[in-house]
Amino acid sequence: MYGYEITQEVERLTEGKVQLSWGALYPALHKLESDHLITSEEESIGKRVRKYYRLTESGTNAAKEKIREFIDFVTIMGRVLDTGPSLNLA
Amino acid sequence: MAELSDKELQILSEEIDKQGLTYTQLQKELLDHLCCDIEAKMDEGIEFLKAFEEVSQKLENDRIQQIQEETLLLINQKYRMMKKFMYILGTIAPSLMILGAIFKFQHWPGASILISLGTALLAVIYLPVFAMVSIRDTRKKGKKVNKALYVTGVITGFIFLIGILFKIMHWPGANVALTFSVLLTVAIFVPILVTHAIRDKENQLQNFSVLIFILAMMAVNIMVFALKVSKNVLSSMVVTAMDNMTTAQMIGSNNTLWLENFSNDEADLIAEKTQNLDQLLQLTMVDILKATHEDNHSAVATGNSIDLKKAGYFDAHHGTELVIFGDENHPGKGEALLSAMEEHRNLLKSHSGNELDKTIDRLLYTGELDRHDYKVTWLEFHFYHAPMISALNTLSSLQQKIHYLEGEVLKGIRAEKPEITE
Repeated sequence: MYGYEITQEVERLTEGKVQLSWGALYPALHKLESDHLITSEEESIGKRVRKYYRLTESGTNAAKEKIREFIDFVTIMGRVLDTGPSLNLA
Repeated sequence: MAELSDKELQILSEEIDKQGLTYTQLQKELLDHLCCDIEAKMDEGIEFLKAFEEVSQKLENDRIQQIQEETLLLINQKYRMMKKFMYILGTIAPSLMILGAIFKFQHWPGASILISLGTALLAVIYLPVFAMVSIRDTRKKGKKVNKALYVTGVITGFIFLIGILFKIMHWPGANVALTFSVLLTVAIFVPILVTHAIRDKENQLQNFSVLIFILAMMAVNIMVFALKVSKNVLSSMVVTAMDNMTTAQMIGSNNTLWLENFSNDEADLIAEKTQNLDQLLQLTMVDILKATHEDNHSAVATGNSIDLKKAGYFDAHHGTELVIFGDENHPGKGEALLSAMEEHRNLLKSHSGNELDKTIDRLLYTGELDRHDYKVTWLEFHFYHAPMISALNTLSSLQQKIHYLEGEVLKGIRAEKPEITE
């Protein structure tokens, strides 16, 4: 996927709640690339050059790891917040 | 799906240029991104100019420059740390070497550790890191990386530094390493460097300096390699050895003559034991001569007499070490020589008065000796890494000493028992 496509996809999946700005997205993409977690391919479209990104193998593994961590985190928080009547929420 | 015309593209491009981005990667991506944005808006019915204005607004707000800086920072973090590390190491390693050289000059302890540590750091860590940083630098400037240059450079430099290290520490293989690195440099590295320098017009001065430096290093290399014993020292040592042998024989014959006029069991014992030790020393010298080189066989005549004028390879030390310390296939003869000397020393002392004891102990000393900052055994001191001629000197000088002592002890015996004649 290319940069703009990524922002569109995120906006679509979150129903507009998360809008990735250019300033948030591109530094992250370049850092990921320099860490060899993603690679890129450039394609010329007329006078423009479009960079397509894709996950590398180590990138895929890292992504799975991060997702796992995040799910763990959410689960733990859920347990904390789900505690029963001892919470005195007046 | 709307598509920007060339003219509209141009307008957008100029707007982006105003932001003053230097990182072209980011600029291209920004251009494409904003194009898509505008096209999307145009699809919704907004016309170009209005869409363009909205987008330009966001551009201002987005602090493009800052974002570029942040991006560059993130990417280059590892690289900048590596570069800093390289500079620090590049200062420490040679400093250690220089410090170690000063220590060695002053004969302070720890010199070898400093030198070997500094050299090792330089060869094993600094060199590869320097290569990596150079490659990254070249890539950043957008120039092609000359892989052959870096590979041969690192390998040659590594072997050279290892050679120097081994030479300083007197470890085996130093000469092999140094020779090999010289060959590599001349045959492979210098040609590659020269072709690289010719192509790379921008850095010509830098490349030329590197080339000069390399050639200077090679000159040093060759000098170090040729650092065997100086010819003058060698020839004077040969003369000394020959004199030692002659003197030993002279004193020996004197004693024998003297014994003809007076003899008893004790005196005969001393003479016999001295002769045995003399033989042992002579045989050791013969062995060392032969072990050093085949040609030296011609210097040994029947009866094991030695004519050094017919010998050669005086500065080689492998023969000495083979005979004295041995290797996997042959046991060394050094220990046997040492015990023979100790035995002889005790024998002489038991057959002489106390006044002679100190002289006997001094001349036939077999204990530890000082070498710079540490102690070594008698064998190591006299024979380890010793040129053949130096070993021959040690042994022939010992022959002299035992015959001298023989004379003194015999005189003592004679003095004690004057009534025994013929």
